[in-house]
Amino acid sequence: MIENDENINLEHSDSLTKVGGMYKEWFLDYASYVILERAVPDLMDGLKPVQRRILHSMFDLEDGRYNKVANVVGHTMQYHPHGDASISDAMVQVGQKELLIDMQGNWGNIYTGDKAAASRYIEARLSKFALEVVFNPKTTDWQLSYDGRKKEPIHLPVKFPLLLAQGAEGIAVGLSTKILPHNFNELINGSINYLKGRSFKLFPDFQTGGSIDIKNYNDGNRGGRVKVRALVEKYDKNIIIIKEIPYGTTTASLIESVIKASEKGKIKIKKIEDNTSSDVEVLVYLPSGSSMQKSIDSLYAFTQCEVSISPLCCIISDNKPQFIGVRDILKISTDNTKGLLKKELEIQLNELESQWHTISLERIFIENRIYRNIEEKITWDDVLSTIDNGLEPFKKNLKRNVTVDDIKKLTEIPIRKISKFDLNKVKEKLTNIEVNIEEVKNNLNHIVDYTIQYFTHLKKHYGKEKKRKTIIEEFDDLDKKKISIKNQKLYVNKEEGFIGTALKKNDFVSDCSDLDDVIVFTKDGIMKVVKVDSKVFIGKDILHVSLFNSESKQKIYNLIYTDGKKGTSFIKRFKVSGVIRDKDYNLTQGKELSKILYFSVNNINEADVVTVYLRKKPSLRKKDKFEQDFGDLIIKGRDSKGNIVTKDSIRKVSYKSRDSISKKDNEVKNIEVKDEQQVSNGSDETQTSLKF
Amino acid sequence: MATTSNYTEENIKSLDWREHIRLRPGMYIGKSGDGSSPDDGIYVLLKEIIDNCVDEFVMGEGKVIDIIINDDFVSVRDFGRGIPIGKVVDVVSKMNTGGKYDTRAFKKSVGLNGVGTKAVNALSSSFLVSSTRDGKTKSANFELGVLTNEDLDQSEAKNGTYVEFKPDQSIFKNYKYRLEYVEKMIKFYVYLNPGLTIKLNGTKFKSESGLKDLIEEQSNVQDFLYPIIHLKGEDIEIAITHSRTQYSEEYYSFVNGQYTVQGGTHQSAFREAFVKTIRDFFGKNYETSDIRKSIISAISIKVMEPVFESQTKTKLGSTEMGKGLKSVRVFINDFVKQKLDNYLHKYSDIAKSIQNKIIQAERERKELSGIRKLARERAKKASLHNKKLRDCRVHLNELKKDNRLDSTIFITEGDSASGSITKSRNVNTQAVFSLRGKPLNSFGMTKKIVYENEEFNLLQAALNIENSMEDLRYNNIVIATDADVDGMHIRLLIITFFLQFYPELIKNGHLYILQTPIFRVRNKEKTYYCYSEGEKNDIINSSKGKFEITRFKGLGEISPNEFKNFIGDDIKLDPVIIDKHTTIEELLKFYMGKNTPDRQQFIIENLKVELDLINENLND
Repeated sequence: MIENDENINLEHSDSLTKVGGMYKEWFLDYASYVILERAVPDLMDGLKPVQRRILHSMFDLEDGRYNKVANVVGHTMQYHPHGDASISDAMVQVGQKELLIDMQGNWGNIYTGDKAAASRYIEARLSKFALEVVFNPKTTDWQLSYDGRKKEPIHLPVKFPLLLAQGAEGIAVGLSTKILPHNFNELINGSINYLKGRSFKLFPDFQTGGSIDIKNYNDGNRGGRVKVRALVEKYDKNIIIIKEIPYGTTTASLIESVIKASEKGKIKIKKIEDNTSSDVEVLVYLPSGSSMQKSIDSLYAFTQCEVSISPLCCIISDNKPQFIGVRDILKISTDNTKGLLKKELEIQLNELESQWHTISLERIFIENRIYRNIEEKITWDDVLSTIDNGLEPFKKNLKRNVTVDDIKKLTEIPIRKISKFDLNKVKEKLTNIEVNIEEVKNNLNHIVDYTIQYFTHLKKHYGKEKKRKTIIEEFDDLDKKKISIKNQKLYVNKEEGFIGTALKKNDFVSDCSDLDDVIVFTKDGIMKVVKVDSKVFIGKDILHVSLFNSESKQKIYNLIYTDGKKGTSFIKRFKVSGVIRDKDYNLTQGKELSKILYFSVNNINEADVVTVYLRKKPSLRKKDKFEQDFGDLIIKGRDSKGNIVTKDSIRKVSYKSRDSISKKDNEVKNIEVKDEQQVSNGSDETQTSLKF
Repeated sequence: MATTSNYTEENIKSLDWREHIRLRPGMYIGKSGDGSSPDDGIYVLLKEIIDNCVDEFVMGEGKVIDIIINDDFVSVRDFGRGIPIGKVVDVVSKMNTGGKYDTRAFKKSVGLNGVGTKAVNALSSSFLVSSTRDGKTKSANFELGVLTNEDLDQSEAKNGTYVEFKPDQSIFKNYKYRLEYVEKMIKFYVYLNPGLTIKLNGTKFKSESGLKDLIEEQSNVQDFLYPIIHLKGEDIEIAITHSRTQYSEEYYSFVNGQYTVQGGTHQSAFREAFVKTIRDFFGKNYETSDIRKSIISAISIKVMEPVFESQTKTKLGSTEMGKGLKSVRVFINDFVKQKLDNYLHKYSDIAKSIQNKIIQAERERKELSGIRKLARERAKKASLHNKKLRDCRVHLNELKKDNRLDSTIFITEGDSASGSITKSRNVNTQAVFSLRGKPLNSFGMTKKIVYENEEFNLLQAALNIENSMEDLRYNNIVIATDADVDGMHIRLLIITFFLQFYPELIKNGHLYILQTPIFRVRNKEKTYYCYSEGEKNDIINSSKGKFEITRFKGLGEISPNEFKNFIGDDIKLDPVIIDKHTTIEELLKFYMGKNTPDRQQFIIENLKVELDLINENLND
């Protein structure tokens, strides 16, 4: 559809753009902008544009003192054409990660969700870490700011996997990103391992602590999923304490979720208190007589004490959004760091060599009194060529060619310098530079080791207090249905074919919770599993309703049905497992007007015996009734056809007795063998006729 | 105080016909415009000429009309009988001359008062008429209505009339014919005249099934609830269906082949007759609005000596089918009553789907009634004072006002522009409605939201379209957002609102986007405003000296006195047009609906990247 529009527009370029074309153009304008310029961080420095601009502004303003955040925000607006509120919010978020910004004043509380004070009150400066790792104007590529008046970095030359340390979250148009934060030291270890060619692992770590199940982390890729739990313990009899909260929650939101669960009757609590100070402390008071373990399980199952997070690593690389795993991000970031270090070394080397060159020239110039030769020269050109000639014999000792600029510089040497010239000092200086050059060259030749050294240095200086806070463990599966309180009642209206918790005037089935599933059988041979709800239509003439849980999956169902209105009758005995909710399963062969004549439920060790009465026919010479023992049948799946009971018309089937099955075990096996020998219709294994 | 005014005989002027037309073109051709809107004058000129050719066809002569249009030049050739050789000059240059005064010859034609061609002549910088009749060709050239040359020749060409003209640039500033609009106009002609072939720059247009084709062309067939009911009789043709998705009623009405945009007696008679027939057929007293909700229909009738409410002939005023004949109302009512009733009896499945639609409409209406109280309160408040609206003096629904077609409402983005547009507007015809922030994405919502959301509610009140499109207060609805990305997003959101709830507003060509310059280029002497990168470069290259270049990113950067230039005579409007190839539903679902992998792929593949890389010298 979209392609069409384009073609049509191309045909006569002078023609008007149709609404489809307008949507395409504007939508892409907007989507591209939000993806590239707003919501998604860049792979190279791990920053969204607003973050990059804030940091760049802070570097602009950096003088070692604190700046008012409002001032930084105002400065940032030179680069970021948006409202001040969005910039200060973004800045507070960066600050709260406690890595790049040195904060002064009330910057809010990540535990309680308390907001930061207004930006005119709070102050900030770049942390030592940020100054060391994030900036270097010499290795930065620049672009024009939006109004063309300033230059701003395309990327900051970040020599650290910042993106993985801080995490990121953003909702763009058509896509979104969610990168979880990781541990500072583990990231550095990962980088070092990667540089050494070893394998490494990477799992999220949160400032808020708690514990994490990383079974399905999937490297942070799309489709991955982690569960994060609060640290929940027994505090006293009937009191639970929550000491750490899951990532993405606050004590306020967590308490709200507990209250909601309590209102819905999922858990029973007496009251809940927030005693958080520097550490989280939420107390949950239980009614006396509650089970501590069950209550804790319920907190995990029904409140924010356990949250499930689906990471989705989407980043911008080469001006395109890309989906990538966290280990790949770390590898790319480490390579990038290595590249930046190399660039820095190369710049340093170049500077040292220039220095050496300049000092050496001066030394030759002064030591050999070349300046004397120019005293009588009149023209500027003569002066230059005289110096050049004077230098000629020594040029072989230099490492670079002598340029006109070099010579011009020599003419500018103050007399003072010449008169005070101290050869030993200069020699010492040159040796120092030579040593430095050698060292830089050595580093360049062993850039990998140098990078490892750099990372080790970072770890030593900044990593001391950055221990892992979130415990990695595997969580027990909670069966929500099991721990949920059965606070609802399920009813059925068999004739009309409805079940539900709202049908209070009808037949009561059992207690249930709204997480339970219900299995229902109707007279025309339909089986369905549905979720408990206030009112659900199944189909007229319900034969049987019960909760469908692990217990009922063990049940055996007995069935006799006619195939079509007057067709052959079949008998089957089956179990039900692995069903899809809300789907109609046909237990007959699906022919119209098929009908169930007998239906019952047995436990595993029981079998019903029934009496089958045939409709009387003059021609019928056989007995008009016989017994049928379900214990004689093999238990099969629900979609098996069953065995033929009779081809004659059945008048009714009635229950006779329920026998214990164990005594008949042998007998059953015998029949099984016999059956197989008697298969009459060839291929269809289920169509086995029994002899009576 | 007491100045004596020289009010003498000399002040009383009797205008020559040419001068009169040129002085008051609005009386003859509506508004002038530059061709960006389908009701701009240059299309009326073309129509006047084609009308005459079609009249020939109606009289049984000349089955082909050949039209050639370049940007500013038009030629039309028919193969009718040709204008009588002796009267060629008079017919196009003498007031009240025409063959159609004799109603026996042109009993059911439109261009009957003989003003049309003369208006074209007077408003063209060059005009040529040439008539071939039985071996002779008479040609006459004019400039601004003044005869410059005459010719009489022998000729072997077929009989017929040839007209070419160039609209006058001084009246139609910077005009350009948009072929889309011409095509649409031509399609209407062929739908109403089955058997007629019109060629436009070589492309042939012809219709077999008349109004049925018309409705299929106007909407997407997939959106039809049931196949079009197509009824024909002497002097009348009707086509009806219901839309699945559209809320409002949509009518196309014609008199003697003339599109009566504003309806008139025949359209109201049809609406009434349809309701009556449906009620009688089902034997139920359904609400009028429920029966007609979502209807898409076309009606065409032939009337003797039709009477219109204006020279532009967009609203029928006749009450009778002709002297001494039935009234229009009775004629249509009888026809619909009989034919539609028969049809519904014959095709019970269609009757059934109409009934279901009515019942659904009834249910939706009742659902809305819950919030009607709130809506009523809001409407009351809005009618007292619509706080988002700064109104103008002339409105589209005030039929007596001359310049009602110029009535315009600007929908502006928050504080960015409403202040400066308000200050620089023409308060007679230009109103301002200011949005605050981004409007709601109304995709997938029911009409309830129009009542619940205050902004939408006030917009609806300002446009006055709650009950019917006929009450629309502004001819031009102009979205004026910043030219930045958020502005693009707001455009999408507003168009989505209209597509969702008032698509006929767009179908009828009322919605536009205001183009504002992207660059201001100025030096000490002059200031230029450029609408594209190309224009900017042209100016920079054409003259020497240093220029200060400002890129406008928001309307807020434009001062009120600058704004005057952008919304005055030289206003640049991009019309919002629905293309037939796209269904509104699909379009909205794709762009405004939930995230889908398809859309994600589409975005990633088509991402637009804009980088302002720094210049080398700046780096130093």
